[in-house]
Amino acid sequence: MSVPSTPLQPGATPLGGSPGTGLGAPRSSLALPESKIVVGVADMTVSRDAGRSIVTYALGSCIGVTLYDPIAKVGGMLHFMLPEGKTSPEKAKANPAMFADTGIPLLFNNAYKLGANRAKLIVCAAGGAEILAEDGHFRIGARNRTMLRKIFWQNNVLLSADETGGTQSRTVTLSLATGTVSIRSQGKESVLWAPAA
Amino acid sequence: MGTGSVNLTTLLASLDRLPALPATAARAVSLLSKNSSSAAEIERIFRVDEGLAAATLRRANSVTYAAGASRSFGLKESITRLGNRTLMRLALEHQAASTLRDAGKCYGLERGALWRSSIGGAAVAERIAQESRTVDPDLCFSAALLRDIGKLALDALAQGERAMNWGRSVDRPFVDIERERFGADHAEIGALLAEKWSMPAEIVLAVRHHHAPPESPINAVCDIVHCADCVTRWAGLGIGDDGMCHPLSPRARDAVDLHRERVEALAAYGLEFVTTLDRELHGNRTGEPRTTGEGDDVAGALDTGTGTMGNRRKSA
Repeated sequence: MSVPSTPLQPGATPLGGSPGTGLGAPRSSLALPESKIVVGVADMTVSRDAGRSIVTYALGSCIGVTLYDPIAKVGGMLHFMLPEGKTSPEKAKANPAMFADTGIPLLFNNAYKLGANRAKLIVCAAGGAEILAEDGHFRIGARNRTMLRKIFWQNNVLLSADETGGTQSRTVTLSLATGTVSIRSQGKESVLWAPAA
Repeated sequence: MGTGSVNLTTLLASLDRLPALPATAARAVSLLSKNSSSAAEIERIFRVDEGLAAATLRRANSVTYAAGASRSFGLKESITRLGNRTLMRLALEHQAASTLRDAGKCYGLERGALWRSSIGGAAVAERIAQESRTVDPDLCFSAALLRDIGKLALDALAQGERAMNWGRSVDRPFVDIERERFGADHAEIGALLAEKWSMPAEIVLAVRHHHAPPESPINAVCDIVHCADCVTRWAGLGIGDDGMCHPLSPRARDAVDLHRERVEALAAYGLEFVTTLDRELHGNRTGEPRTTGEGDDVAGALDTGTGTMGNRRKSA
């Protein structure tokens, strides 16, 4: 798998982002009345509105990546579908959030633009499930997990918490007030990361 | 049948209480299922639905159907040119949204999620059929579009109970749990519903077997719809309490020549198809007006690097 050499460096040019807004790919993220910003499949958003939370529903083999700077109160979420944009270069260009190798750098760069400090970022991930009884032919979830870790390893980013694999769906919520990341799966809600009391 | 299952009589009775196909689609399917229907009869149904008539004209005058034609075709001519399977596909594609939009609640699906999964799977099945050149793409589209209609019935039968409470599902096919709970799974129930809606036998069969394509005799449409269903899941569409607990048949996988690169391209295609259609119909992919003002945040932040820990530096 090819990995961008320095994709998460602050100030780097967002890969394929929308030049008009500097946001990249939050084109369909939706603010709901209950102060939730919904991130769809192949979608991302960043925000510093502490009165809201960001949610992505029903991750299967896709992976949801969250980041949060507790000082700047900047948070973001990416819901990527596949590991590498090279499988569909036009789609990667049109929507970088579809792929790990184009979406993750864009998420970080968009957060930097809102004032996030790389050293303060708390990064979490969830999803990457597999189709039941998959015999290793495709391993889409595993390949998503591998690409995520490879990009982070090459860029010295440590995951603060993650919950990946299995066959279950996961809904992930990031509180922009506290940075708390929670997961709802099989009717159970659990906290993936929360600030120390 | 396991604890809490319902008998077949109750099941079939519940189908009567389900939302039916919209009238135009129902009449179109009924008519198109009979090979004896005339273009004039079909035109009478299609012309009352402005959107469906427009879609029919667009299709008949597209490059695929009208290459070399020196003039554009009217509605009746378009109906004659397209043929029954394409017309049925157009009627279902155009009208299924209202039936499927609210379905899947017992699986914890958000409003519109089952429709997006249905239309995404339909697009993937159509693409696979086009590439195979052996199966009618419109037939595969229609069958995949309707594959999960059994979930309409389970919504009614579950009476508000979420699917995650039907049984532990992380390590076995979810259809097993449905059968234990209701005496039949959503694929079987969907096939009964498709029969009730007078769908052609090929579509009924593909709905019935979309999680387990028959091994003998092998059916190419069933194989394609089954594989499209899995691809749709990899595209992140329609995943509810059943998670990823629907295995892929290795035989169908090989028959359809589904390999990793193709799966990824198909998943990206399916999602793009849904996103584009959703945007055309509703203005964005979620089907709701976008109200976020995030762009304002970013515009104000472009010049606010902290200059520490490697962040963007302010110019001196």
